Amino acid sequence: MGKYLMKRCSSLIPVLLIMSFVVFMLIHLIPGDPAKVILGDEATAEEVAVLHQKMGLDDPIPLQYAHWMGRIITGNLGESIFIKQPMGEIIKSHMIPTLQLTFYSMLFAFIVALPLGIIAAKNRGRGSDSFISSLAMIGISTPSFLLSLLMIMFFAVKTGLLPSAGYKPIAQFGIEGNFRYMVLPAMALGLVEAGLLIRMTRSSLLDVMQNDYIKMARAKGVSELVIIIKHALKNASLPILTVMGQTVIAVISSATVIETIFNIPGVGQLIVNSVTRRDYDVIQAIVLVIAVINVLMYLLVDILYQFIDPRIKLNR
Amino acid sequence: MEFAQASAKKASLEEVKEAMKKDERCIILKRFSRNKLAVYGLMILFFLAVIAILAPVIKPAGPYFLDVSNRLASPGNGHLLGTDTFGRDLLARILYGTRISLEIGASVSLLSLVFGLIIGLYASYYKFLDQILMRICDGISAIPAILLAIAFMAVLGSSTKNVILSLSMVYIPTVARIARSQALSIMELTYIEAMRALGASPTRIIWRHIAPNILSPVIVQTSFVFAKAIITEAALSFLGVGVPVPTPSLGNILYEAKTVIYKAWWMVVYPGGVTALSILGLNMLGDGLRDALDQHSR
Repeated sequence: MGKYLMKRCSSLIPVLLIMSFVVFMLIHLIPGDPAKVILGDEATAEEVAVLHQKMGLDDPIPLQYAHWMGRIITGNLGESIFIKQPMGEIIKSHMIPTLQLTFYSMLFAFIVALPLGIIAAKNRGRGSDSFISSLAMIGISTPSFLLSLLMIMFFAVKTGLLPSAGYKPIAQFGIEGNFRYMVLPAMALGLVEAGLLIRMTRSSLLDVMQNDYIKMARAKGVSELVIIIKHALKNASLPILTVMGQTVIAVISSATVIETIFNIPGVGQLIVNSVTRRDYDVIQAIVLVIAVINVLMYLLVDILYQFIDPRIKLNR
Repeated sequence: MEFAQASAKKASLEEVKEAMKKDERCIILKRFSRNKLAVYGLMILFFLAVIAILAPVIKPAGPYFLDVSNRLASPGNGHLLGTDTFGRDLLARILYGTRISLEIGASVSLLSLVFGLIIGLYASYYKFLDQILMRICDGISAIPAILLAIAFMAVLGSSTKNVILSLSMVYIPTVARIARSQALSIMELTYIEAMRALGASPTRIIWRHIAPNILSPVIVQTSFVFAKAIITEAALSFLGVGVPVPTPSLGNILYEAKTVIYKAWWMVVYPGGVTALSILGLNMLGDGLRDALDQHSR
């Protein structure tokens, strides 16, 4: 296990290096002098020259990257031109609402998708299967921001059941108050991801159900539901787990759009606001942090594989 | 005499080959047409493409014509789907918006197909290129698509051309990876070894013998890239960093709708419906193509 971990982690290094280089190069894709673009039209030539010097834009690119990397590794993610706080603090305070939203959406997707996937697999080829499969298809094809707008129209504008936008921190308003404001955005994000999860649950269950040991259990007279839950689900859970891992990242990144609709002060809203302010350090930092989370998520899924299915030899 | 026989034999071999090809095409076509989902998907796309192309005929006034006295008019009364905040006809905006969105989706999938295929093929053939190209693809795909697209748009500035450019950069690695893995399995086959032994040039082997055999899975992937590109474009424009106003795109019509959601439901429902419909069509088509082209999955 330890050996595998070492090997798996060292294989992450080139990915992280290239990914960080892509993030670093973003600033150099700016047409013209980045210093001038960052400072805007009103800046004097001197101010531009000072920032140009400070950013080290005259150095060769590899040297600039080395400097930048050195800074990142020591935990200095740069500084925002607009928010006078350390970058770590900025991202941390914005990450909390995003992670809450992610958690609620995942929970929602899981609660909806798992039973539906099981029902579809159990009734393969029948009406309920095609109904659930079409539902999943529509879920996959509906952008979450569209779903959000429709749900605001129905739940907030028409019926007034739920608040249309806003965020209440748990510390002040408790879990209940926080949850009330999260229901709509979490549903909008969760339903779309549920589509993917339903499909995966259904197809991997169907794969497993063809095995001999399932036939054996059937022959013994075990009820279909027990077969699925007790025997099939565990072996079907590997592909489901992979999709779950991807879903977490998909939710975090789709949250960018959802947070601006529901006015939730998360990283998504931060990155969108930073784009309009041309606050490039913040954009780079967020992209970097979420990409690192993404890479670590894949690692986590790989490691979890072994706990679920000991037949997988990791140190191969 | 001998020669004539040989050429007759050759002709019949050619014929057999041709017949086999035809047969295979027939099978694929049959499988495809039997797959109801795919046929419906294609029909939806065809319908959308037709209304997008015919937009200037259906709405000759264009998407920018202002009917100032009729701002936010509800559907009916001379504006079939109502008007937006500036009094522009919503149907015209949606038609031209569909046109822009489909154009972006098609350009992105074409660019990803071409570059993904080139990268994947050459990476599979040359080991040293493989390491470099695939690590770059890994690095790019480590960043979630929408975030990378937002970051690209932030530095490049919002314009339709830049949307196409950034989305292509985001989706080329996904196509390249599929192309590479498929090409690697073809490379193992004996006939490639035989071609090498015969002294065929790498370019010939790559483009004449490997490329045609990996095309189907790559095209399937491209159809999904098309769908993803439309979603991401809509999301970018919805955030105000995609296609810049006043040019209509499905995303930025919804962006304008966000501010008037309390009084103008038609601004959300109609453009949203068309967005979802186009993505649905593409996903159905992609699933159908996958089932028809991929012999392994059935």
